[in-house]
Order: sequence, then C-alpha cells, then structure tokens
Amino acid sequence: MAGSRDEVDVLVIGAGASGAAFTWSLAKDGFDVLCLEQGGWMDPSAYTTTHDDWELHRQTDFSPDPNVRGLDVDYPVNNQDSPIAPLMYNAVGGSTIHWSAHFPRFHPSDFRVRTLDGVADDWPINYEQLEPFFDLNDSIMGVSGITGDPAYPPKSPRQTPPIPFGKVGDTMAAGFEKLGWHWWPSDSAIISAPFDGRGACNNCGPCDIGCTRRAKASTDINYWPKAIAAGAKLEISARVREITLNPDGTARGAIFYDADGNVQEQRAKNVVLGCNGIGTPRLLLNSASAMHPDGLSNSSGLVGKNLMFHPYSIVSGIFDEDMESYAGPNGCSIISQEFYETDPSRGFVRGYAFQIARGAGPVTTAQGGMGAGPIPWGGNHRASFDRLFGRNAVIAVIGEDLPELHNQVTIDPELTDSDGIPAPKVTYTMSDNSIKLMAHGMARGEEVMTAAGAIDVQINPLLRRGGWHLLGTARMGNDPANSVVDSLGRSHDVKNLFIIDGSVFVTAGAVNPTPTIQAVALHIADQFKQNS
Amino acid sequence: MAQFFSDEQTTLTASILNRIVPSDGDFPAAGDLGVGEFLDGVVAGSAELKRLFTTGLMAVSMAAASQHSATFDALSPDAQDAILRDVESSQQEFFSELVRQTYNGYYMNTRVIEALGLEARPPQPKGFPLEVGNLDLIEQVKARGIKYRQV
Ligand SMILES: Cc1cc2nc3c(=O)[nH]c(=O)nc-3n(C[C@H](O)[C@H](O)[C@H](O)COP(=O)(O)OP(=O)(O)OC[C@H]3O[C@@H](n4cnc5c(N)ncnc54)[C@H](O)[C@@H]3O)c2cc1C
Repeated sequence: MAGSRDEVDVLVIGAGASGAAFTWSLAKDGFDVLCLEQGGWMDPSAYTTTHDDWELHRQTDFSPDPNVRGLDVDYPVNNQDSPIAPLMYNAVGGSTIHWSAHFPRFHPSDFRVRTLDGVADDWPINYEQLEPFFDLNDSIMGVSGITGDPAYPPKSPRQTPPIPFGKVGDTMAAGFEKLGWHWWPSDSAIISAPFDGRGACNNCGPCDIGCTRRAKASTDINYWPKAIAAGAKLEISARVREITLNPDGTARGAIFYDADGNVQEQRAKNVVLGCNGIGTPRLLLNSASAMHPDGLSNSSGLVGKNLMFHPYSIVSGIFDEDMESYAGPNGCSIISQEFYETDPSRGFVRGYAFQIARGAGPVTTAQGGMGAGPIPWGGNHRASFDRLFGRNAVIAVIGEDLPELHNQVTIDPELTDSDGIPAPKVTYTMSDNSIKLMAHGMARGEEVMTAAGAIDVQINPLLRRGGWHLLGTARMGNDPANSVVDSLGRSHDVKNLFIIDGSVFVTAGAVNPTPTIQAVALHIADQFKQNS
Repeated sequence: MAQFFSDEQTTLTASILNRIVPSDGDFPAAGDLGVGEFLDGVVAGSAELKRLFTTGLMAVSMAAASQHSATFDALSPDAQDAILRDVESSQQEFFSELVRQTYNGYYMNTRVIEALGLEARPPQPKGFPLEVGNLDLIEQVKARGIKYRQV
C-alpha cells in the first residue's frame, strides 16, 4: 500500500447529488471533510449539444446506461434479472450530469405510508423536519416554478419563473382542465433566468446530454465550487473498494484505487456513503469481514434489499398540428398529481404522478424515443416519421413501487469493474399492486391525451431503460432489526458510518426523488454538525 | 475509399439503404444520400458490427441469388423489400443495427434536417424560442382546493 495519508474528520464517498450537498454543508461550517469520487470533472463547454452528431452520443459514450457507456470510471451492473435497467453517471456531479432536473418534492403522506395505508413502513423523519432543507437545497440548486400548488403544503418562493410551457404544455394543461384534474407547472432545477452566475435556459431540448449554459443544475457547477471554496477537499479518480474497520468495530477509513491505480488507505473519524442506491449497497456488501460476514452494517440483512426504481409507463400522443415538441427541456413542463394519494376504490394503495415530457430530435424520434421501438423502415417510413416528429407529447406515468425483499442488489459472482472490484447485480419484479397501479395510470393517461386532442395514442407499458431512481437498499428506521441506519443516517451497527443517498429511503413516493435525497442529506449533515 | 466495405458491399449497401428509407418528395433515399459512407465508418469501428454486417450483407446477396438468380441491386423495389423482410427475421441482430445506424446517419444529415423544415444546426448555442404558456389557468387548479393528504 502506498504512503500513509493524513486522517480526516469526515470522509465522504461519492460526489453526486447527495455527496455534494452533504460536503458543502459541513465545509461551510468549518469541518475537515474530504470526498473521494471515482469519476472526474466534466467540462460543460464540451457537452455535445453543440456538435452536429449530438443525438448519437446518448446511444454510445453518453448513454445513461453504464453498461452501454462502458467507460473506465463506470462499473457494470448485471441487469438481466430486472425488467428495468438501472441508469447512472459516474463523475463529479454523479447522476445529476445526466438527469432531466425534474424537481418535485415528496409529500407529507409519503413519510407515513404504514399509518395511512397499512403497507410498507413509516419513515422515522417527516415532511416538516425536511422542509427547511428542501428550501435550503432549492436555494443552491436553483429552481424554476411557481408557488401555490394545491398538491403541496406552501413552498418558499421559487428562484426563477416556470420553464415555458410551449405548445406541448399548453395543450396538455387544457386537457387536464377539461377533465378537472390537477396539474401544475413543474418545479425544475433548470433556471429560466440568470441565477448565481449561471445562464438562463434557452430551451434547446436535450438536458440529458449535458447543459453547456449551466442552466440545468448539476452539483459539479453549484454545490461543489461552493464546498471547495469553503475548504472541502475533493479527490477524483479515487475508487473505493472497501470500508475498513478499527479493532473496536468502528470505521477506520476506506481502501481505494487512486488515479494511478495504486491502492491507498484513507483514514477518517467518520465515513459517509453517497454512492447511490446501487453503489452504496455494493460497497457495503464488498466490505464483508470476519466481524461482518454478510457485509458491513448488515446485521438486519437488509443491505441491498427493498430496491425501488419507480416503474415508468409511457403514453405518447400524436397531434394533428406542429407542436414543435422537440423544443424545451425534454423532461420538464407540467405535472399532474391527480392520482397521487391513495383511493381504496381504485383497487390498489398509493398512487402515481404524470410528468409531461416533450418530443425528441429527429434521430431519437426515428429510433422510437421512449416508445416501444423504431419507426418502421420501407415504404411507410416517411409517413410514419412525419406524423410523429414535432407533433407528439409524452406522459411519463411514474408509479410508486413498494419496498419488497425480493427486489434487491447483490454482488455478481463474476462481473467486476476495471479495477477488479466485484460489480452489482439487480433482481427486480413488479408486484400485483404496482401492476394495477400502472394499469390505472396508463388508462388515465390515455384519457387525458384524448381530452387534450391527440389523434392517436400509443402506450409503452414498461420503459426498460427507465431505472433513473435507485432507492431503498439501506433503509432508515428506528428498529435495528428492521433497518440499516437510524433517523440521523447513522449505521445501527457501525456508529461512525453514515449513509446519505437514496439507499436510505423507506418508501419511494411517486415523484422523482432527488430533491428529497438532497434534503435528507442536508438533514443528516445538520444533525451531524449539532452532535459533533 | 471505404474503410471497411468492399466495392461489392458498398454497391449492395447503397441499394439496401434506398429501401430502408426510400425517397419521398424533398427527402432523398438513404443510399443516394450517401448514408452508406456513414455506415461504413461505424462498422469499421466495431468488431461486433463487422461480424454482423459481413454475415448480414452476404445473406442478402445469397437470398437474391437463390430467389431470383440475380444481384440484389438489379431487382425491383418490391422484390428487394421481400428479401429484406426475410433477412429481417433470419438475421435479426444485423437488421436492427442496419436500421438503427441508417436512421442515425440519415437524420443527422443537413439535407434531411432542412427537408424537415428546421435549421441544420445543433441545439446549442442558439436554443429555441418557446411560448411561456397560459399561466392564468392555474387559478382554476387552485380553485379546486387542496389536493394533498393531511397527515
Ligand atoms: C438519465 C437520468 C435522468 C434523471 N432525471 C431525474 C430527474 O429529472 N429528477 C430527479 O429527481 N432525478 C433524476 N434522476 C436521478 C438523479 O440523478 C439521482 O436521484 C441522484 O443523482 C442520486 O444522487 P446520489 O447522490 O444518490 O447518487 P449519484 O448522483 O448517482 O452519485 C453517486 C456518485 O458516487 C460515485 N461512486 C459510486 N461508487 C463509488 C466508489 N466505490 N468509489 C468512489 N465513488 C463512487 C459515483 O461515481 C457517483 O458520482 C435521473 C437520473 C438519470 C441517470
């Protein structure tokens, strides 16, 4: 092992959405904190939205699927036993490099699922406790939107006005109004006016391949510069293999491969994991030892269990006019939470949300976008393409899947990353409740598309490449027999080990999780500071 | 000079591509547009695609010879389509890559993008104008009352 390094007070692993927020919170209050990140820095000016072949990169080196990208900094994920493929990005900023920045919060009821609906478990924390951290996080990420949404308790003023609806948003809003259903302009972590030295969105479309204007929030451009200015240290190309322990059972630090491939040990008084809902259980399971034969912090047996993705169904509507639907942030316009809360008469518990997405560029449209497959070749090609391109609107039905033991992350017996570290495998299936809930969502999606005036509606019942949200695999709770960390994010088994990413989610809600992941990370940071 | 395709494969590919995306009004056929050159570059960069295309293209030629005793490019469009449909089911992996890469090359092409009525340019730095939308409508949503469950 290479030379010894100075011990730090706090070692954070993973520089994504949660790791950045947590590190900033500690650094600004003077804590000694170092973050190890396996990826490197992105250069926003190099994103391919300025290249002629921009649409090809999401099929290859900028795919959201690490197995397709196959970069050295990625680790492969065996997804053969899952109908949903996990997606992520590995760099400073983590998966926020790739994300669509749709930014809805959890609701008060999402933290009380057992009490309200008799399923899953309640969280050991609640909406009111997280509220100040939602607001704090918004103020760093930069959120466009408008207050007053009746589907939420009142929120603090948004940083910039809503993302323009465009014809897609306007048409869909009119459809929801016809039915008298809830809808609201999306909260989006994409600024619609200059903010914090970042440029306003100019509606170019493909947020997923990176934002050259820095209008889309990603933690490499907001939290990290602030954290580093406050004294945080960030080491890139540092891939952690395992967490090490002291003889007394507390965490001693982490063993990692540095930029030159040398094995190093970083010692720390506290170790904090923000590697996401797949990377974190992978690291814990890979840190098995004589003291922890089933993986670190796994006395409950729940590390890797209860994986939740949010199944997505895609309802695409085709309209009889040019909607210029390729313009505007592709994941953000309006939402509907008409069917969010439980209604027992529907035959399932919990609910789903609609996220209205826009159309795609010409190449992606030809490849079928989020639909079931490519446009037909041959004599019908032209007509099929022309009735779709620029004329479609998409409803992404995002459903709440429940924590289930059989949905899990394990270590694949053969697969490894480029440093030889064992890689994860995901096993996932949808329960009866999830299937009924999604079926309801598809039918209601079709109804509102028709109300909005679509001349044709096509449904993809399950989006395979839709594993954007990685949740539940090291959950929070008060009972050590039934959870991995406590309400402060602290491991029940290893008192100086913390988890701050989506792994700690007890339930998944039916909205994109990142505002809540970051609020939880800031809450854990706040408690950590108070208790230090 | 092709990077990977032989002269025969270049000719054959052009006629195949003309059936994958045929010409229509302002839209040129994919083969005539030169998408074959793009395809050649993509195939040349991947061992997997080289394998698929070497076999797939040969299968097309052999089907033409066995069914019509002719080369593929000499056949009528209908006969060509029938052969391609056969190969689509017998060489599925090849065919789906063929279609995917054809669409990639075709819909990136300046002439095609202009035929779609767009400016031939990437999304940035110019972006697109977008209507702000009818925000007044949210008053009606508010009027329908609180939507979240009290806990
Ligand atoms: C295409 C796409 C679109 C999305 N759209 C949305 C959206 O619109 N709204 C929303 O709310 N969410 C969205 N998400 C999800 C969102 O990006 C994640 O919820 C969020 O980034 C998770 O934060 P995290 O900190 O848990 O993990 P990540 O952001 O994934 O960061 C984890 C980091 O840990 C690092 N790491 C992992 N293992 C190790 C190791 N062993 N050693 C060192 N470093 C390691 C990784 O390299 C990575 O940088 C999207 C995701 C994707 C992929």
